[in-house]
Amino acid sequence: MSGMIITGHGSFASGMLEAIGMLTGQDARIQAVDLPPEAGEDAFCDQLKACLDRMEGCGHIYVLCDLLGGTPFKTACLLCRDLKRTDVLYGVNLPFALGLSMQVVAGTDRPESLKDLMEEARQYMGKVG
Amino acid sequence: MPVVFSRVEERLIHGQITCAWAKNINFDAFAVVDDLVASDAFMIGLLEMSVPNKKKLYVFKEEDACKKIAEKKEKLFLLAKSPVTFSRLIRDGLHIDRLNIGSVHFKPGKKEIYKTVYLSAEEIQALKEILGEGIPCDIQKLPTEPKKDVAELLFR
Repeated sequence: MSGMIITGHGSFASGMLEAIGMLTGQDARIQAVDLPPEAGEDAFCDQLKACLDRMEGCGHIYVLCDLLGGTPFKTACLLCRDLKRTDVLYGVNLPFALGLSMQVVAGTDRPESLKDLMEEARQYMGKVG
Repeated sequence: MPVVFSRVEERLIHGQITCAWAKNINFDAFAVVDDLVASDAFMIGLLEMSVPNKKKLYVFKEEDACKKIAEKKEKLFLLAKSPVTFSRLIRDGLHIDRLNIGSVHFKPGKKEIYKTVYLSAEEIQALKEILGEGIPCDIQKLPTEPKKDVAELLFR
């Protein structure tokens, strides 16, 4: 069984979690950790760590970050540095988060197929006309 | 080459720096002065990942940062976690035009001097020394926000 954590600036994470809930339903295996504007880095780090700890029993944990180089991303990298069976992803969009969350809930996710999921998610960005 | 921008930022390189400030300032490389980061290859790698494509990154230890900065040919965006570091660099001979302050987080014993800027007695003293050198200091998290003059906050 795998787990998925979304994290990002402001309410990016809980917003994306809410969107996923609307589109495919909620599941305890998908969690969000927000970084409120006035929050201290230590408090955020503690919350992300607590979320990772809650998923300790998972075979694999995916941490989806909003922005390469941002505080949520850097904190996730530091926390996952010594953890086995975790993947930290950045610049994630909703199509990617949806695709992965559905696999996680169905139990069909595989770390090897992250590359395909990312490729597919990139195709979901475009312009009309 | 000159230091074109100096910032006290507890998070060093992060979203606000790469997205907002990097586009607002004309510079070639980030220069981070921090002993802990300088001795941690993982942290350096993490900062390298965070730097926008066209910019370089230098990481220096405090003790020889001033000398190393003087040797660089690029325009530098200088970052350190604490005003105490900047005070030391200035005593070592570093020249900067002004000091920008982003966020310095709360720890027990620190005083809030402005939103998201919490300073210890040592840090307040360091800022007073920097101001005493005639270097203006202001708090401004993002380029779109108004500047808050530190002298006004510390000497009122």
